[in-house]
Amino acid sequence: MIEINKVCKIYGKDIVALDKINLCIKEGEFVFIVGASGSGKSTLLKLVLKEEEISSGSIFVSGRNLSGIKKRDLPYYRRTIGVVFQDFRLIEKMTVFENVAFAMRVVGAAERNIKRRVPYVLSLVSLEDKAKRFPCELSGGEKQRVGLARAIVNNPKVIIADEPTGNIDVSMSYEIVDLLSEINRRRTTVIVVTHDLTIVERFPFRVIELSHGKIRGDSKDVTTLASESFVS
Amino acid sequence: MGSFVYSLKEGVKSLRVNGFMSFASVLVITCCLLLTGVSFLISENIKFALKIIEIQNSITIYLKFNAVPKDVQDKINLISNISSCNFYSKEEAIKEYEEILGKKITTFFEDEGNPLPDAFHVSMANISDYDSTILELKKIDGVDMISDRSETAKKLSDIKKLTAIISLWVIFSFAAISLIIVSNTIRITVHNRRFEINIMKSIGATNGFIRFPFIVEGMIIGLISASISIFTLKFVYDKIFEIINNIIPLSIIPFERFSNDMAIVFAVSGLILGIIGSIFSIGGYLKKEGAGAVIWQ
Repeated sequence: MIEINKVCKIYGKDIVALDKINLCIKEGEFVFIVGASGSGKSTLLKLVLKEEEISSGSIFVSGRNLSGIKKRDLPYYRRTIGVVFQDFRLIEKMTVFENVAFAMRVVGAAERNIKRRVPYVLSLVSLEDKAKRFPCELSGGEKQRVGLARAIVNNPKVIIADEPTGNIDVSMSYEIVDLLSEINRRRTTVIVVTHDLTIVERFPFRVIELSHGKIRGDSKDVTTLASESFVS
Repeated sequence: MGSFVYSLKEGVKSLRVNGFMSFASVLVITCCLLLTGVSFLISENIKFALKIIEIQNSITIYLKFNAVPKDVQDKINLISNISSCNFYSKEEAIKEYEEILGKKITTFFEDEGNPLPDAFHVSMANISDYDSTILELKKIDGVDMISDRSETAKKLSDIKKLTAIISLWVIFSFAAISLIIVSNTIRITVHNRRFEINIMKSIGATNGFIRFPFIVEGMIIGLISASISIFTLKFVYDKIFEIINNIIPLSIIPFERFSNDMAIVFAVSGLILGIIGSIFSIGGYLKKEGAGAVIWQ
């Protein structure tokens, strides 16, 4: 599904963000990526989303070499990936329904499909009764569920969540990861970047630890990882 | 279709949200279009006035005494720049002299007979070609002298050229000013909506989808400005037309003669200014593909 081969990312002349990373994430897998600030987590996500160009190496997503994607085809590639942000990134002047529908409108979905699909997706994240609310009327957890609904509404093959529990309390955090694992059960590949060890410990998924641009650990067993390095 | 309607709505909404800047843009573009229109109308009226002067500004060709007027007239009519050629006989000329100076004048040359030559009053179609036409006229057999009005012709021609140049400069300058203003308004809209644009990019919106609402906004600004300026121009021009006509019976072209063409030109100019302005302002932003353009800022 996602194949990262000897990938280096160097900013400027000598700032090495990623150093010869090799990684393979299979289709339908759930992966936590952990590491301290500056360890290269965000850079890795940027490269997978092709927001940044790699300095060397190669990245394949669903068998497609990202280096070969032309600029004009980039939006179509990004439609295959759903993104969940730490700060939710909801549009304040739009209702919950409109925020989710917005993602469908962007890809040119027909209005009747939007009216059918959005309530269904909102029901998956248990927000069907809050469709007409504005983001300012929601709790942090609810906002993140809207973000999640927006990420999955176009049926992406991969979900990338960048610190999705960073701005919400612990019980809500579990709920969000529960939802992500529910999405994962439907064969969607999920990549969660986090530095929250309690979340990582609670779920039995693969954990990849990054440190100074290198992979320091890759295991389903969190106890084999250097937990102190997670603190950002 | 859904995203098309959505983009249209977004364009209109953005116009309302950025009320003050939209109003400022409409105001500036209206002023620019108005001044361009005024300059065009002045130029057209000057051209019209010059045409009348040209028609009235006939030159006199005096014939040799032995010349046959009919033959000379035929040759004059062969010159393309000649719009009219009227025979003015020596009898008519002496009669005019008598009317101005009195009957006594003819007694001085009773014995020699009428000393005045036959002549033609000739008008030119284009006064800018005055010199070359005079040269052609001088070459005709039987032509003795030509009344020299080259100075007047030159002045008229210069006024015409100057008006054309000023109009052109006015049009280009105001088009450039309008473009800058529209671009800046849209740039502010883009800045206000950068958050939405980032989300759009991250979920796979094409540049066309992102750009369209801004183009709609620019188009609406252009069209509103065009409508206001054409109506203002008509109102003001008609008032001036009325006032001038009451004071002096001057020949001014009625607005109706331009109204249709001007409305089309203004609407198209407004649209083009709006579209180009918005493309300029959003274009640069969309090019910024990496470095935090999508998710991480």
